[in-house]
Amino acid sequence: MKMKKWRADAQALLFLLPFLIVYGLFTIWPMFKGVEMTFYKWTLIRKMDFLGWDNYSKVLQDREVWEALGHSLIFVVLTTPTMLVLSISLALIANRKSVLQKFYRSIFFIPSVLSVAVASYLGLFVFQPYTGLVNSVLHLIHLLPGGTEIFWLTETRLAWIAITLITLWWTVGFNFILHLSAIQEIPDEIYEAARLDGAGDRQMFWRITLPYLAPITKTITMLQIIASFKVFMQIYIVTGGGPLDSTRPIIQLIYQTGFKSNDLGYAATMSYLLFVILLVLSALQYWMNNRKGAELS
Amino acid sequence: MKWVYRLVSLFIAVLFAGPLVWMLFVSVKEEGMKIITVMDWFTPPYSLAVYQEILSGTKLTNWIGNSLLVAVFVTVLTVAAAALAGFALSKIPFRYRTLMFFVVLAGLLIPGEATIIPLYQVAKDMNLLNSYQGLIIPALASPVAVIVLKSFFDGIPNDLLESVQIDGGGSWRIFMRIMLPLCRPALASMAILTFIGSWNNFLWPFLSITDDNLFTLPMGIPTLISQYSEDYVKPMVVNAIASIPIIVLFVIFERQIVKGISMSGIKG
Amino acid sequence: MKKRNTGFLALAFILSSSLVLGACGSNNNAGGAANGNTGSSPAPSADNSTGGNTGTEGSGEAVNLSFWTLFDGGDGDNMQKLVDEFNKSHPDIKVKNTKLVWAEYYTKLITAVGNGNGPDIGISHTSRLPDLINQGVVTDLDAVAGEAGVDWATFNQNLLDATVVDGKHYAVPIDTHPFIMYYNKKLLKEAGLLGDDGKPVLEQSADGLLAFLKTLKEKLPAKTTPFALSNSNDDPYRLWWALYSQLGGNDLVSDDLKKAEIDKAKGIQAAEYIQKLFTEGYIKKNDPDFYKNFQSGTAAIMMTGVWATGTWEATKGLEFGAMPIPKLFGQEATWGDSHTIILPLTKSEDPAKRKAALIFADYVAENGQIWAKAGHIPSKPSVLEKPEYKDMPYRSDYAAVAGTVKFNKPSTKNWQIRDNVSFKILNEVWANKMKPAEAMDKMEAGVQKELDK
Repeated sequence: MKMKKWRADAQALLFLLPFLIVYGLFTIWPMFKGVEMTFYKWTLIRKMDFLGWDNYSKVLQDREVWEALGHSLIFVVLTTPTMLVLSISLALIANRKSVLQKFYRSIFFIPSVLSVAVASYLGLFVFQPYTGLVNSVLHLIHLLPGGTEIFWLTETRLAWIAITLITLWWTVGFNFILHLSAIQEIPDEIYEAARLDGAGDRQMFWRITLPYLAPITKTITMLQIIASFKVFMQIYIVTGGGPLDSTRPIIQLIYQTGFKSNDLGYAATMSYLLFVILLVLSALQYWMNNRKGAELS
Repeated sequence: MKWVYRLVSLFIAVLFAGPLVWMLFVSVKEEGMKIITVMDWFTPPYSLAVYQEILSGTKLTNWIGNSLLVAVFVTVLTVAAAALAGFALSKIPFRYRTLMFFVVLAGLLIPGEATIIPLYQVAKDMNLLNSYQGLIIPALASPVAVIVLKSFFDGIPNDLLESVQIDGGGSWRIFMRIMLPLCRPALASMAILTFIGSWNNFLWPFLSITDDNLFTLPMGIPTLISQYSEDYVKPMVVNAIASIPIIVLFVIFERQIVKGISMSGIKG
Repeated sequence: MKKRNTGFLALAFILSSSLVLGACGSNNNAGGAANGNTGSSPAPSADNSTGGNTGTEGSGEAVNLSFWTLFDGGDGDNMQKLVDEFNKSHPDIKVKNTKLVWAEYYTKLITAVGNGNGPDIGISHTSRLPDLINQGVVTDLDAVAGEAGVDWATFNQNLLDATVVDGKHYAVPIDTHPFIMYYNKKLLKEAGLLGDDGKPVLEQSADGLLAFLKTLKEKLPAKTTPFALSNSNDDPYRLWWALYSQLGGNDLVSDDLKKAEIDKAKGIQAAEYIQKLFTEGYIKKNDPDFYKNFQSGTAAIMMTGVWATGTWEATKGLEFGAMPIPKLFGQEATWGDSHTIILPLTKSEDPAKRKAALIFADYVAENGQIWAKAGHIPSKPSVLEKPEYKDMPYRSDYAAVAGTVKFNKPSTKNWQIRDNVSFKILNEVWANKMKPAEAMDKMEAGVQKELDK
């Protein structure tokens, strides 16, 4: 568009203003405010003593913090690859011509519209011993002998499995839709040509479908990693971070430190540690996306 | 081979539907029923008494209302602000445009969860805690939405705008008459994602709200369910009441939602 | 040109003002609906009210008080009853009870007081009071207690002493709630363990209880649980505290409240004993609902706080008895705590409200027989003499337990130590994943870490 310089400036400012006000006040300003908070003993009630670098030296040596970061990382490692495999598998199922095609698409997506609290509680009840759905069904089909129970929620490894399954069930929907639409965009002619060359279903999947899905999968992977690092509520409801904090993610520790132990200053310090990690990941994502963009154009 | 594939597909679908079906059946059971095998959950007698009890005796419907209200406000205002900003970044040749673009882009790198503690302090200083404003306003700046919409606006050729300009139309008119209609699918896509994000937002309401009249659904549900220890009936009724409206919404808007999500994937 | 400009400006205006207007409008609704306990409203409305003479004369508007509680189940119902009765008999004061979730109560209270949205009246456990005082969440009551006519001499002095810091009263105690034992008469009889007096045939010793549980396990059908107990957190911790205290252990912190001080040998002995109850199968593993287990008559004994009494009474067909935790070791002792009413710091600190709040607090303590319906032991000795109290069954069986309760020392870190250290580490012992000796070492380190925070 062509216009005079000052007019352009003034108009741009007006168009940008609503966004900039909120962005400045609630995204940028807290960033700086948070830095101030890390230098103080700062409670929910008020700002207290100046601590200098104490919070920083403490956070670097705090085993709980690193363990919690480790748990968040475990969650990322558990959910990301399984998410991709599941998402692509579901997309393949829902892409097949069948009377159930629409039903599949709906049923795979519906858990994603549930409130996080509902999904977590359903998960909790499903995995409860004695009265939960999973153990009851296992009893019914005699996979689990009567009188024995699997304690999904109180054994660390099983708890991770339960958390992963609940998370996959609840969140796969979005990625599934992305994969499905990417599959549907693959031109039919390519498959037909391959079939004429004598390619089987399996070959076509590996040689055609998967390579075509690569760009969207890359995007999903990065988004998934970043989102998974911020996990909190599923774990909070399902295991409460237990047993013995062995599934407690970093966000939960930040919450507990800030609000249960009433130490916002230290909680803010932990946040910056998380921030640095997420920053690196986001930068990586941005860089990868841009490279992808460069390749395409 | 083919029927194995079909069977596996069906089995996976059953796994996905299982918890929801279970929820619905348990929610219509009578309280205090003896459950000996799985089948007892699914067989009669059924009763809707607990639904009535929960609907009239708790604030659950209030919270659904709060969640809807907040999500609608957040969605409309976020998309509006992002569209305006995206338009300016895309089509108005102002000074410092590149700089401004990077300022917004930097926002993509700031994760909300990592600044939640100082955000709490800032909201406290501004007297926003424990209020609808406090739930809505801090959620309105979405750099992602700005960037996505900007890239959509970029795709609209400038000649089109210039023809309107020659006819005497200004920026506002161009924005309203050309940009918005042409980018309706992108706007819808952003709106759907923002809505679902707001509907599920847990951490911020959890920290900032203490008055149970202002609870949103995700934070209200645990306060209810953690009080019930009799059996699963009440918790499942709570879950069902909280889920049925949103599932109905999904069924009505399924096509748009699916399209919206696929769209975000292509650009994002 | 001009037209376009106005259109454009209008948009900017609509956008920014709809933000503000929409938001303000909804806030007013919220404030109204919440009956004045959301932030902005209390100050002005309080100033407009009749000021000094609101206490008893009853002229002018009623004083509205917001009251936050953490009671659920039977406790919640009985507190609501008290509030209703109070409102009926005091037309010039209106108390509105808001029930918060137990687990989030203190966080919400501290947060809300911190941002000026706190209630006029709150509840605190005695063990949590030092922390709340330290945080500046609660206000001292001496001046207002005089105005409201509270006579401190009418309270159980032990309980009262725990609420006094630096010579100032900070809370009105309303009860003691010790950790006690319940038993199912039908099942005990079936196992031949019920005496003619309707009390369990149980030798008061460590081996005595084990033998008792062994008989229960052998004599009762396999589906019955000899001992219903949570597998984690509160109740097993309380049992551990009781046994540790019976052995002569004295809290986990030193008298000057600065150092971790665990009598490890005693702690280990108590933990080993409880661990055995779990590993030998007297307690149902990972019981998802130990309350329901006892309530539905499928568990022979149960240990928890006295607040369960009201719940069991209301359960049809449950024949139960209540008694102190058996004396397994050296001296009689049990875990316990006390609920108190506090006046959190508010923005206005309106004297009329504070006076009305304290009148309410004294009323609750004075009418302890209603609160005792839930099972609690009243805080005023005179209430124990009231016929309404004496007529209630079970309560007299354990009223004396109040004297054997080993309370926490007044550390500001009691709850943090309990939640972040004791619960978590002892849970591992109960799950048989950690040796008691290791647990005591870890607890000592953990307690010290909390104290240093």
